[in-house]
Amino acid sequence: MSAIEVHDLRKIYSGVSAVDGISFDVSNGEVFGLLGPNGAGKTTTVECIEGLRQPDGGEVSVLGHKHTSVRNGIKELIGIQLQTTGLYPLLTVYELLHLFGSFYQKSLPPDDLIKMISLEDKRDTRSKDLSGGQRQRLSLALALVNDPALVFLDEPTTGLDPQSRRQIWGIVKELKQRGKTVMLTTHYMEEAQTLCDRVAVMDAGKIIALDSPQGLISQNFEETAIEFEDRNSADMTTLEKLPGVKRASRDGSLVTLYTLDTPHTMEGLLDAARNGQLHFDDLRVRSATLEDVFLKLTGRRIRD
Amino acid sequence: MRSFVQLYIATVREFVRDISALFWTMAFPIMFIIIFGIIFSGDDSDVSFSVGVVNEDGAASQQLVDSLNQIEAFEVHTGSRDKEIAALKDGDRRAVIVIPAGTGEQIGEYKTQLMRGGGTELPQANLEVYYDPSDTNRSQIVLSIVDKVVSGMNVGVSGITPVLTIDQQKVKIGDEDLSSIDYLLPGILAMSLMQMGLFGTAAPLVSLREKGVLRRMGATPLSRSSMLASQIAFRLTTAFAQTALIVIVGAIFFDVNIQYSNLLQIIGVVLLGSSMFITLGYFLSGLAKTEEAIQGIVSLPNFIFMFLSGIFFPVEMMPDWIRPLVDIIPLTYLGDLLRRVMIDAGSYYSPTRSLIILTGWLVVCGVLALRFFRWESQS
Repeated sequence: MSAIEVHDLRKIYSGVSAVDGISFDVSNGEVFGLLGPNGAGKTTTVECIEGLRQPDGGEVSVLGHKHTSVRNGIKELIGIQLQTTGLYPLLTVYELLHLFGSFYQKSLPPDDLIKMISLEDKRDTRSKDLSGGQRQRLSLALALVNDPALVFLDEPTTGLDPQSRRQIWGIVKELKQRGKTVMLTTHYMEEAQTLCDRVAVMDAGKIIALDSPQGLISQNFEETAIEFEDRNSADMTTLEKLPGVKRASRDGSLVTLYTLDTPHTMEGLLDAARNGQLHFDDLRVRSATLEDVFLKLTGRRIRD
Repeated sequence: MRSFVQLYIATVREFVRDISALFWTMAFPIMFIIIFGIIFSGDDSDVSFSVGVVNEDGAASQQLVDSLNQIEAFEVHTGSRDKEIAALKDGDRRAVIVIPAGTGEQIGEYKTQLMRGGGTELPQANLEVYYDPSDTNRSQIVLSIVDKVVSGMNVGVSGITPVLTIDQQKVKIGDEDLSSIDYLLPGILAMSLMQMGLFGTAAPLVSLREKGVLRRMGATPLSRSSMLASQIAFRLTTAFAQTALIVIVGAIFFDVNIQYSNLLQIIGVVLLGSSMFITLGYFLSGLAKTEEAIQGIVSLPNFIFMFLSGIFFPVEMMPDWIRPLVDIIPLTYLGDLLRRVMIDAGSYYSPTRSLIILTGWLVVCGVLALRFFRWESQS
């Protein structure tokens, strides 16, 4: 049995399809990511699955329950982190965890959760006095209060500094080790690549690709990416004619060349620079990432 | 049940840690009582009037001076005519009573003639009373007391048994036993119940909604009805805490005469009034999109109701053109009813009318709250 089964899910807001007939399954114990830019329909999708929004079409089944029939029964079994943390500002970390624990039939002791999110020294601090990262960790702990088998995390690291982001990643990895199923949304490529077993790439209400991060990359790219800042706006067709280049793309001054033969392409590139045909800065060679996949599939980059 | 209790405790914690809600619901009414209590306490304990008595008749009229001296409300000063009238002009006397020379003699003559079977012309004695006509209220009280003393003496002198007497029954009417703070205290309670509905309900609800707290709890198995029940139970207990606080402060510091025998009625009226204003708060919270906007939205009814409801000034004093407004304001009726049950003062409106109008407001606010109250931010 899959943890989540979604079939032809649709949600329409004032005539516009926010979610346009998507289908996917999430297996037990899997970390599943919905990756896409803001407005792609990620949050609407998870909120339909959580039972917080009523879908306009399609079927959703969570842990074997068709949730429309047992709305509250499902909430007992799942953990939800919303994009807005929604904490009582004047309650302390401990008080909030204790309060939320009382909403469930079974719950974990607040102090265990506090330890898990490493907020021991903030146990008696009011939530409004926490930093963004601490608040986000608390919000994550609130989603785990009932020790759920399935956890939903909606943009868990948006707006956080790199250190806080890594702390959250550590907690998610720990959840996976403990056999929890996690469904998260993100618009950070690196996050999806680090955490997720499988990623569904979403754009404009549709899933445009679904595979493991490595699968998505190798499916779309055998190439290596050569990237540089081009100050002179060189002609793209010239760049595409460099030896070994399969495709070239430009985003502002940032040029990416995808090549199957890195040494030859680099040679050509350096020659062009020597001849004065090209002026570049910040040259780097890297293997393709999910960012490249998204760029290839949509023609756009995902931005923060 | 566990979630209900925990949510109740959480709401209490949020409330007592929220300075603004605490101020408007608890500190503000207490401040009012203390300020009004201090302003009016001076007047109440000292209801005596300084009265000058000039006895130009000497020993023959000493009896009259003595009876004036016995009047509790009078603080009698004796002296010469010039001196006392000068004191009146300086504002040191409310009135000056002059007993002209020969008054005692005239009274004696009157008695003698009366006993003989009377002549056609009985002699008359005149007292002169000087007072300041600009200070109508107090002068009228002084004059009527003097009048009463004089008629008492007339009856005594003539030996006639009065045909019409006053059988004094202790029925409190208006201000005789009640001081101004007695009148104001129920009004202040009504005001604080209203502010609990406005500042203590509408404003925090908007804040919780806009911060996503209501929505976050909606993502747990907690039902919306438990959430509502817990919030409302908390606010009703707060209403009774306000009532107790105001009554205690009033009774201990300002000696307010609360009719404790009316406890059940008092509880009933507080319950009705606070339910009505809490419901109004739920309705108003739906009209604001931001925490700043709700402060403006609740301030409007707060000030209109406070000053036009007759909780501070008697409704009779309001100009006629404003009366239709006064007559629909719920605070008018809550204040009036509370005054009736708490201090046993006469109410201006009939209790039936007040109850009907307050219930009407409760129902209308309830319908509007169902229509406008929102669990989730719209932005």
